[in-house]
Amino acid sequence: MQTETHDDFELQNHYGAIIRSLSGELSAEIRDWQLFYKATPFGLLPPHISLSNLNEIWADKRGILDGIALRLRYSEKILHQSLSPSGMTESFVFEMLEQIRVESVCPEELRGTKKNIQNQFIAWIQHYMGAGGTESSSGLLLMALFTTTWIRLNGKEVPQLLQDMLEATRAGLSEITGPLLKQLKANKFCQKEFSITSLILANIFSKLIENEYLNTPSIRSKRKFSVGSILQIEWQPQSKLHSEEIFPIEKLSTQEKRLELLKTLNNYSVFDRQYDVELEAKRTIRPAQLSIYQSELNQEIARRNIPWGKLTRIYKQIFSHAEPYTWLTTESEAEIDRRYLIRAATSPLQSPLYKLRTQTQLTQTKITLLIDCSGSMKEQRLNIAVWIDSLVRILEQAKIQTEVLGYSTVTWQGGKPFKEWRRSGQAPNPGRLNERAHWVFKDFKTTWRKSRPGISALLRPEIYTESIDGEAMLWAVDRLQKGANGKAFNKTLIIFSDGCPMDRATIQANGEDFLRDHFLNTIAWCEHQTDISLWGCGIGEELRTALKRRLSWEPDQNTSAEILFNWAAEFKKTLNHKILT
Amino acid sequence: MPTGAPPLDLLQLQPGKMVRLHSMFPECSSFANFEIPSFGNRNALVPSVDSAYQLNPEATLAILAGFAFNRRVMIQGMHGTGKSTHIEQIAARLNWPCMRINLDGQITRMDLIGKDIISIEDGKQITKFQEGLIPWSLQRPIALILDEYDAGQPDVMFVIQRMLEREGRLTLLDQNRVIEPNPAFRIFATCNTVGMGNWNGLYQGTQLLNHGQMDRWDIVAALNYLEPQEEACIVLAKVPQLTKELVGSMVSLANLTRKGFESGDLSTLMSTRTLITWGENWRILKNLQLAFDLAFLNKCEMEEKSLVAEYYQRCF
Repeated sequence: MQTETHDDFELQNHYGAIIRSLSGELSAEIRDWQLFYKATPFGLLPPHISLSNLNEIWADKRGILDGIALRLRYSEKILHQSLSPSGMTESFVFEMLEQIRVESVCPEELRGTKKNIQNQFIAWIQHYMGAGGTESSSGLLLMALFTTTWIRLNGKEVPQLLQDMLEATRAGLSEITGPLLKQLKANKFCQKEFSITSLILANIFSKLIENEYLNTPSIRSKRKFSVGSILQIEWQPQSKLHSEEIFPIEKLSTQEKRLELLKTLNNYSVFDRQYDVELEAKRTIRPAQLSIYQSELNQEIARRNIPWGKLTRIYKQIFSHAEPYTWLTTESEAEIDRRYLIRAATSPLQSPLYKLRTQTQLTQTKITLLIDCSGSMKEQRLNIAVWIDSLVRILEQAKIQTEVLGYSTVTWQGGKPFKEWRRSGQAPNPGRLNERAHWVFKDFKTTWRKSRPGISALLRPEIYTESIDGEAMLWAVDRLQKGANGKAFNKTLIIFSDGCPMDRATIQANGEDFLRDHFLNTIAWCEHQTDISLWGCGIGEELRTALKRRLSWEPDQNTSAEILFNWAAEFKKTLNHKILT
Repeated sequence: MPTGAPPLDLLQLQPGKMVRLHSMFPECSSFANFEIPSFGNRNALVPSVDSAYQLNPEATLAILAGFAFNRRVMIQGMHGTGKSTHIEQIAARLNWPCMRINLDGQITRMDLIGKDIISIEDGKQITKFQEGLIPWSLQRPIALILDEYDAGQPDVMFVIQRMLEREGRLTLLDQNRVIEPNPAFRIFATCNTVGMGNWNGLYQGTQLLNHGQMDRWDIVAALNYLEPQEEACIVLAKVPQLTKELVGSMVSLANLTRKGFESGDLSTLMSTRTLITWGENWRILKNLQLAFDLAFLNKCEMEEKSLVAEYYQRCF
């Protein structure tokens, strides 16, 4: 199972909190080590504040976070994007200059922030030069421009060694850049005016670099990627970002989004549904085998020493809310009820004369745990079963209703629909081909104790085949919404999965992205349902960023119940975060 | 009248002077000008003027509209924004007698309206009705401030329902009496929430208010934290030993905690009051960080301390 550990979760949350406070942008968050702003990926950040630098020894972590925060605070994204040029070098220069601008307008009161961003900028230049970035003339050219601009705007010096290395190039450039740098400094508080000048600079430098390599054919052929290959910096102009393909609908209004999502969901088709099954998992296993699974599960749970009482209290606290205060009348002690004053005087020995103010905790939550039973999850099945069983037990004691569902396919390689499709002439884009299997391990009505054999059916290796995630998620949501019987419940769906949907036959017939796109659309649709909160656990790298709320999964699980505590902490933190609730 | 109150003949007092908004409250000069009645002389119930207090123009206008046109004004804002003080400071400048009642969950109808008490007169034990604070102040030219309005029990708050209407009379059921309000009687309320109860866990003990009652408040003004420069001025006025740069950083730190609270990353925040306490602690201890720990950090939850430490690093 691909993972995001609890430490990852905590760190991202902590860094996100710093960015949010400093920038004042409450929607900023770090999701799977990517910056998200207004629920969409921010795009590539300038190299010195790239989040990937957070793990580097040379980097000043605080400087990176502060740089990002200042960017969100002082730079208008739409204006920046509308002016951003499309050329590789131009867009890179434009981006860097804008970042240098926002860092230079950091208010005096934030003394620490100022120090952090300056340290980080110098550390990055030093690291970049140390790694040989300025050995190429274009690298030297750009670094000279960035350093000069930085010195001009901040009124600070860079270390002597750096100055010495860049001095000759800087002096050579001074004739072209001198007046423009002056303008940059004068306009540093006005993004629009500043951008106009920085666009001119970007064009000049792009041409300079182009001329530099005009007569070197081997490099000219690579000119398109000059920033990447020669400068050793990962860079792509904004419009080419892959992440925007995942979140295309975020730009629309709420109503448009809903319609768009429904439309995209309707694009999905199924070749033949008649072989699809929905089964109670325990019914497919011989009772003798099931009891073996159950004892295996019991032993494993016993080994983990789970503190049930403590965890129940914690989970109850997370999912319950206080009812308004009410008075309990005719109590035998507490405050005297003034309606019974006369009775208190006439028959004081009669006890129920008092009233008591109370507040009760209400838990109106339903949780569905949806488990991906694809082949790659087989190895983890014991761990999954242990934590699912424990979680169901704890949640039940906390008065939360739970359902445990799973999904896979009946067979490998497409099954009967695939054969039929081949017989019928292999029409293009037939839709999903395999025999979908939906497993019910525990439904809302069954208690934890009675559902234990069902949950232990998770240990059966044969159910782990291929996976069609999108359809399963829609099925789980439908069950969750139907079961409410008109009562107001907080409905939560947690999906335990390790990656993209995988059904070889369907993918071969419909293209690589068919199942993946449907799953992404389903996630987006779920995120827009007002009554459902969607969580993902162990979701693979490729899809993790699509989910707003995530739970961690530790790759090396020891025998303690740590993961249940971690999940509780993650639930609590995420629910506190208002943007996500 | 409640016992122990100063022996004042407020009954005869009326606001005899008219002042212009722009001349008396230059903060509000961007709004339309109007006349506000005010009293000529100060008395024991008029709060004293705090020259360091910075009036927020919008809130001041709302409160003055209440004073000038007999509107019911509710001020909503987070703790430490100076809601009650704001009303008091305006009353102080108008020489308007002022009275604050702190509502809490245990205040009953009897406390507000009045009750029968047993007293000794001419050596005999007699029972007589003693007016509560509401009928007492209703008959006098007093600005009544109901503090922590949302902490009062919603059912108890219905006793003032009628009073909230303009010229609304108060019927004393216990006495078969109807009280006409004094023409210069004004009523204000302050609260942390807008009748939504304790939704963020910060204001324990607040109640969900009846919307019919919320509707009777003519003006609901929000008082948020001050602009950094204004806040710095207040802190500097209270603790003049601090330097301007230091106060600037202190205010930025307070603003970071406020943003952190807004996004749900922190469960508590620094109010202007905390800032002043921090400054005062610094005056005693001569150590800014220790003073900060004592004034704010120790109020934070264990897991939030690392975030607050990061904020501190950013500002100093």
